[in-house]
Amino acid sequence: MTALNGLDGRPTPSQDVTFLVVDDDQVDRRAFVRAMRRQGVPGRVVVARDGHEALQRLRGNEEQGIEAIERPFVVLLDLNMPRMGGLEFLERLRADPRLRRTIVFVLTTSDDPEDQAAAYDRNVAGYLLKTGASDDYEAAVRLLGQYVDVVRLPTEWEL
Amino acid sequence: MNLRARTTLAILGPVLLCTGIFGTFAYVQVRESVLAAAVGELEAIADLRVRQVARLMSTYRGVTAAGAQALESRFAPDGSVTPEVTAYLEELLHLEEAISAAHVFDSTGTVLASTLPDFVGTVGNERMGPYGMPDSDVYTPWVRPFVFDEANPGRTAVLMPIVRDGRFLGTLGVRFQAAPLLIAIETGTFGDTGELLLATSDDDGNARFLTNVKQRAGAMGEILATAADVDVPMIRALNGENAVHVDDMRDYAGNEVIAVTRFIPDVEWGLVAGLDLAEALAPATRLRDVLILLATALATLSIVAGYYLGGRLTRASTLAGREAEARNRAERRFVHMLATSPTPVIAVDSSEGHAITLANREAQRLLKTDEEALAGHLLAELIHPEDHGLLYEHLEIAAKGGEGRTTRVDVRAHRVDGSSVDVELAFTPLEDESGPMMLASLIDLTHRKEAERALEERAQALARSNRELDRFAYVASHDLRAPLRGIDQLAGFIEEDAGHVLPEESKSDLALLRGRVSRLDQLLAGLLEYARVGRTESEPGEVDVAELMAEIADLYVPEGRFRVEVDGVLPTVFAPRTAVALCLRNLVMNSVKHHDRDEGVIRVSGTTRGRHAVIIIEDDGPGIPDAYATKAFELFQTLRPRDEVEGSGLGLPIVKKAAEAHGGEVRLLATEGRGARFELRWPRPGRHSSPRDAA
Repeated sequence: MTALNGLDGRPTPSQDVTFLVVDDDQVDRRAFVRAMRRQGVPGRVVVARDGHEALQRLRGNEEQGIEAIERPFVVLLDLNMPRMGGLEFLERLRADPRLRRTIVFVLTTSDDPEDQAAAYDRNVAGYLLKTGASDDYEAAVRLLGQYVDVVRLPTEWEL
Repeated sequence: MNLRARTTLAILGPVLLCTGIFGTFAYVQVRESVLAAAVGELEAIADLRVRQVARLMSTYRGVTAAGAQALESRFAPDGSVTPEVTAYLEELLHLEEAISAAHVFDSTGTVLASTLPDFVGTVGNERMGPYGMPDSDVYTPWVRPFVFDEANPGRTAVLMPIVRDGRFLGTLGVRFQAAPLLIAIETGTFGDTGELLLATSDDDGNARFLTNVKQRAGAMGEILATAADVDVPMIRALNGENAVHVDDMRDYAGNEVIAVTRFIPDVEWGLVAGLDLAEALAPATRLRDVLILLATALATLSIVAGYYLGGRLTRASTLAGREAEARNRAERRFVHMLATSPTPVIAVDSSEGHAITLANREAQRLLKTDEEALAGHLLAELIHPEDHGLLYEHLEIAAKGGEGRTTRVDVRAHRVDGSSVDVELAFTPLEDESGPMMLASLIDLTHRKEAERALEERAQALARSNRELDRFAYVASHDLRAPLRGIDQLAGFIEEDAGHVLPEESKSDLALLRGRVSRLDQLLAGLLEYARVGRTESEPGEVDVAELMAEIADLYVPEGRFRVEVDGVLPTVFAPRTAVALCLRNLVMNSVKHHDRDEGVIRVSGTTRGRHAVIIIEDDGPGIPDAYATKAFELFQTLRPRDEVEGSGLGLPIVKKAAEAHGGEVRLLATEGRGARFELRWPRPGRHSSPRDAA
């Protein structure tokens, strides 16, 4: 669990966005954070190692002293993970009335069309591919920076 | 006796009997009437002649009576003959032509006067006593019968007493010639054999000819028959018999005749009118002949008809017999075949419920029962209630289908022991003398169903295993690539963060590290692609190879260095577009990647061969030695060290797998000298169905 706020002292944008990075690969998580720093994208980054942990972070768990993530936030989701994979996480998310409007970007190494189709079926905002080249993240993070800058994210749960 | 003879007799007998009875009856009837007619005619002729004689004799008697009366006054008062008497006698001669002489006698027969100068003698009359003696007040002329006289043949006389005041004066005798009488009789006969005989009896009682029309039997005066010949008609006639002789009568010549006999009292003559029996019966004989002819014809016809009909009957009965025998034999054979058939068969009738009429041994064994337990039960009782709908539906179809058509349906059958068995019922409608029926053969599906289930399970297992394998290849390559990417990224981080403080050698090592990582990544990417071939392509369709080739050349062939030349028209193929694209791309990239010169040409041409389109892709690179023609398509095979050429060793295997997954084929063609030449073969659009991928 790492929370980074206003990295490199850059000005915090009007929308103080939290990025929940769900990925079991530590290198990937680091690469994402490094890319954010390099691109100068503001916002906090919260990480989860799998779908299970991600749901806990989103819902909060008082017993374990876990606070629910503040809104607005965007989820960056890997698909192949232990315990609970990305697609199953999406199922649960969309089934949860409090979380179903969550903006999710899939960020994965899987270019399997079946995975892609399944992700879009579960209403993801975008399917971004990690091809392996080191500048993958640069492009993805640049897009996310612009996205949260321009797009109005859901803030309050409208039940 | 064979049927032909029996038939002939059966027809001939009644025909002959009928013809005989009818013919005889008709003949007898006709014969009698014909005879009666002939006899009638003979009688009429005979009676006419008799009447004619009587009339003439009456005239002669009249003439004589008148003469006697006239002479009364011509005698002298004492009763002696005067010259006036003689003169009158002369007058008499001229009175009738037939009168040839006239005499006057006394009671003793002495001639008193005569027209014949030398006439003497007496004329005896044993029947009347003395000449001219009256025996009553009424004098009737007495006709002296014809006396055969050689000198004067055929004369007769009429005698009349001459009486004045009760006193006998003498007797007038007038002699008449017989000729007029004979002439009267002789005229008119009938038929060819008809004749009229006239005879008189001489003193001995013999019949002597007076005349005979046909002149068959001698001249006048000859003896016709002696008195002893009592059966000769003429003798009978002279004996006063007026009769008709029809049976067993023969004439003087011995011919069988019919005859009518008459006695003419005035002249004491006999008259016979006769006709040969044969002629008399001629009409009847003709009828008889016709009848015999008819009978013969009928008999012949009967024989012919009998023979023909008999033949027909013989053939018909023979045929019918043979047919019946053949039918019986066929039926016995059919029943035997059915009973011993190794296939369980039951027969049901066409009643609404289809009652079982027969179940062979195998059917009994299958249903674990015996025939008696099945007989009379309805077919439906053997079948699971849930399958009754199917059963009746197919029975109806089978009944409509007619003979020779088989209708099949799978149902569950009940056994008598309560267990059930899956069977296929094959219905075949049949028809025999007893009406329509239905044969149902039962095929035990137990083994088939088991086999089907096993096959299905195996197919599912195979599909599962294939899926798992795909998944494995995919996941494995993905999971292998993930840490690889991590290594690459970490190397990148180090380069980024500490690059400026690292010695040059370390920097070079880092670059090598990333190069190896990249190579491994490419291998894994190739492996992934290979694993996916045949799994993700779209449905097959018509693919324009020329257009696709242009696209691929545009995207994957480095401009300037390489040139893609298309010879002629490229064919259209029938396959998933992505698969064709994969093959073309890999082949083109293979050429580009392995080219050893600064510039190169890739030549693409196409043709069609049978149901296939053939695309040839050749380059002017180093080529692949023939020895490696097969190896080139194996996984991870490269001809040169990867340090020289960054190849995954998966390009050609991918082409091979993609082509073969969709009915295509790829081959490396032999070349002379430089250049590699690949032949890619795909199905052409058209008749064939779309090949589906095996995965």
